Amino acid sequence: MPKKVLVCDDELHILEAVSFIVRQEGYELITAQDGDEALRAARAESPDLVLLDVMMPKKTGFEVCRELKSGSGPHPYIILLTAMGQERDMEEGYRCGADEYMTKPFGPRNLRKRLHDLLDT
Amino acid sequence: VRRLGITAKLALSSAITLLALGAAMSVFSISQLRSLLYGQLLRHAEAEAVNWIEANLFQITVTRDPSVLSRSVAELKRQRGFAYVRLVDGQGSTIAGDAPVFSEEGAPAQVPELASRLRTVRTIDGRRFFDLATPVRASGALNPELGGMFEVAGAQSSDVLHVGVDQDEIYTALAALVPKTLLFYGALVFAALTISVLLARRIASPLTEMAEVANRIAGGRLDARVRKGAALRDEVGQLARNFNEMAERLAELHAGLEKKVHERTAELERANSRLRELDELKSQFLSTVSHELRTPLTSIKAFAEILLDSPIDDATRRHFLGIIDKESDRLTRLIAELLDLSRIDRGGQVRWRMARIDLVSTIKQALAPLYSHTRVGNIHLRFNPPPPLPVVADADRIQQVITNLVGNAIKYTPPGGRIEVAAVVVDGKVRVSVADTGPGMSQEVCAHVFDRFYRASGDTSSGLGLGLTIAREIVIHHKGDIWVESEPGAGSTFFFTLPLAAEAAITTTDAKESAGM
Repeated sequence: MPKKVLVCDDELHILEAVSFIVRQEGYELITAQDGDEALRAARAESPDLVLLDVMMPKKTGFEVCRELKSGSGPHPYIILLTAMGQERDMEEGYRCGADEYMTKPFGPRNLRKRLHDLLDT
Repeated sequence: VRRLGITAKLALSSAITLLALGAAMSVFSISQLRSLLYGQLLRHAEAEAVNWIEANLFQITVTRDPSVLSRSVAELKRQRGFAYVRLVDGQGSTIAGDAPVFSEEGAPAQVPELASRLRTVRTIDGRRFFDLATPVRASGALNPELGGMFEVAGAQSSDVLHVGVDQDEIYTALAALVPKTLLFYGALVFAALTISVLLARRIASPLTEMAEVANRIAGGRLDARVRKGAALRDEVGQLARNFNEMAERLAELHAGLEKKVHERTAELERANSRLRELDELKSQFLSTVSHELRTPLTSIKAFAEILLDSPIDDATRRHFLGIIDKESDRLTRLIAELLDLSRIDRGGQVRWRMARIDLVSTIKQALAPLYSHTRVGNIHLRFNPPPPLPVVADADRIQQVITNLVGNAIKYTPPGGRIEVAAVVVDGKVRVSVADTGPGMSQEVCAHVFDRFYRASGDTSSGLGLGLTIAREIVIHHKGDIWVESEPGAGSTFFFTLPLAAEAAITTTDAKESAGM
């Protein structure tokens, strides 16, 4: 049974690109376009990994990350994907419990590698 | 002495003067008293001696009976309290009486009004006497036995009567007077001293007060003033009043200075906080710029790499290339917007192409490409064009202002909403308004909405937030105003004005009337 990956970004083109890569790698794909939607989807589908944008409407990626990592039970892996490339943003990301922090623009090769590193062990 | 206060100095100088005066007066009066006493005593003794000589002239010069004379001399000595009485002849031999043996004899002393010879003598045992030697004169004398005047040979007599007056007795009498005199002068000096100290204090007190006030002023209490001293009518009072005037001037200067410092500090603080605000906005802006530039770049990079790495069918490839194309355009637009701002930022370097234009047709041109955007959200964009409104302006820039305002309205107006554009003449100016049925803004947001780099918190829409800033800069350059009226939930209306071109005064009335309809 393929692992489930939730991808969340309010930029539709980026969402499309990331979704394409996830599907290409053979994972089951779920998508969301804002923070609230991401939380709902994560609760409903219990994905193995969540790819989160930070600057999103309704709830930021940091907030979503914190909530997903705080509940009881198994937590999904979380990769933050963000255009906020400053060091303090990265620190904030790790403080929220993110497993990886990737700065936009990112290379799909890099993303594929991270997905495998986290999911195929 | 230098360390003493002025009161002490004044008092001390009076004290020294008074004491010197008192001492001098005491010495003077005691010596005067002594001379007086001596004189009186000696004159008295002489008178006694002369009386005796006159009374016994006959006996001395004629009878010369030693035993009678001895008795008479002894009587004189006893009755008048002389230390000794002795009658001697020309050769110095004693005729009657006696005298102690003298160890030394002083020089003759001169006492005025004294006819006798006066010497100071001292006995072996240390007693001191005045020796008054009165010569026996041959003058008329009453002879009790003959009962009448007679001439005696006494004129040729060389006899001398010595009487001894005890000096120590005089000294004792004087010594008794000294303490009284000293006490008297002492009391006098003390009274004078007391008065002088009081006076000194009175003279010095305004000066002391002034010194104290000066001290307080030096300590920073600039409201201190000389009170008592200033009421005096003498030179010290004048000094005190001048001093007060000086202090007043000083306080005024100080207050002025303080005020100025406060003002400057406040100004600097304002400037500083404004700078901090700008700095904060700038770093916020940089972060926004970076975010906004990275977003299209992310899509471009991602799809480019996907296309490079994976075998993809033709249709999908074309779709991905389309996305790359669109995102590149977006990037270009962002950069253009940034450049626009930086050009306007540098003010003078912008080339303004000012010309006489019709604002109504400029508005139409600006709106034309925007209608397509309104179709997505089914927004009604309306402009009811009035007759031509001539203005002197840069048509491209004014078009940009309208594009920015209407573009914003489209962005924030929910589906089905309305956007109303109008142009009217008010007070010789054209006023353009863009009203929307969007969510509206709070007062706080309204106040900052034109600020450079400003984005309302919670505003997650894309864009750099420079559109309104650019619009404001352009309108200000045209000597117009730009503002917004809005309330949360009641939509927003943006206004800007431009001065009407001068020659077109007649047509504007028409424009106004038709705009009012």
